[in-house]
Amino acid sequence: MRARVWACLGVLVPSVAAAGFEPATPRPGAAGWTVEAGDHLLDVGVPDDPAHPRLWEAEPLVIRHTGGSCHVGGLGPLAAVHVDVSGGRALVTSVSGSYTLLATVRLADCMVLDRLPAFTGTLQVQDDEVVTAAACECGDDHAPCVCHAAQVVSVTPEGRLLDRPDDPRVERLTRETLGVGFTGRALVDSPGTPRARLVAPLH
Amino acid sequence: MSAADIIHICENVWEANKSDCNAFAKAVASHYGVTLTGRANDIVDQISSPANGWVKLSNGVAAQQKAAEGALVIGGLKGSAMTPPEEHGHVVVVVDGDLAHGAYPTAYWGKLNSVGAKRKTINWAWKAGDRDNVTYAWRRVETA
Repeated sequence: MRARVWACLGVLVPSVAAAGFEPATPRPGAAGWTVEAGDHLLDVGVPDDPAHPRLWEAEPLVIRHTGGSCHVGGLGPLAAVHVDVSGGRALVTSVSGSYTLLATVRLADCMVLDRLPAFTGTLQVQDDEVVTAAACECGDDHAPCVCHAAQVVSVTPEGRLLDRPDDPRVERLTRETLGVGFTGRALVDSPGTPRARLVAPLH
Repeated sequence: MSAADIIHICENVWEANKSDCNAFAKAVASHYGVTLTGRANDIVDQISSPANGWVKLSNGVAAQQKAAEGALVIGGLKGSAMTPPEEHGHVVVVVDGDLAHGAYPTAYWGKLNSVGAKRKTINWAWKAGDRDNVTYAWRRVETA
């Protein structure tokens, strides 16, 4: 049977950052589940499973500081938070349907600086860069899969999420995961297997 | 078939399909001789068509009630119905269980390129704004 699932599996596992964004795990406390970010406290809401949380409801995500609080709406169930304390920003990862949603948020006033949906379940954040794994959706056994290349996304000082499809890592990472290298989207037969074949790029 | 039977089947096919929403829904449906084909968007089209034997439900409350009666209930949202519109959709198998916020039924789902969820309410599958647009439909199925 053709392998349907070939992408790296698992939950979102951010890497340790030396500068820029750093992972910030929600912790339970008297005020509920929160993330500390310097002088700010992010209230992420209730977890899906208090014993083994993977997601937090974050409806809305509330950011508290000494001068008051503000909130961010329109996020999905929250999967991870990275904070850049010196830059006063958070990188929030949430989910909706088959997508992982990235959003940069200014801590001082909860302004959403940018949003980017990614068709992936696996990503790494290092410094001011997000790298997502290549991923596909396959349908029936004899139809090619719709595949998305890996993405390298830079977070600019202004909080913009800048997709960089020309980064040389994109094609290499995609080839490592799917067995064929490309950028953007493509139809692929048997991705992630020795029989992987690029059928056609999609525009 | 009882509501517990559907949950039993979801548990049985979970491990092999936990990383693919459309494969998970197909696996559960096929256990009862119901054919679903294509990707998630295609499945939403199929459950939306009475010609395919599916009956649409008005909302998550109706979906929960029908699942409690032992019907096969699928929920799904096409990528084009997301806010903002995206390419890929998502589908879940609704089962008997709690309603979150009085509106969002319990379900199993696989999640592409990750791991889905077992017996969680669907507010953990879609963000606010998307989850209220989920299409639910049911079919009567016989004991496998």
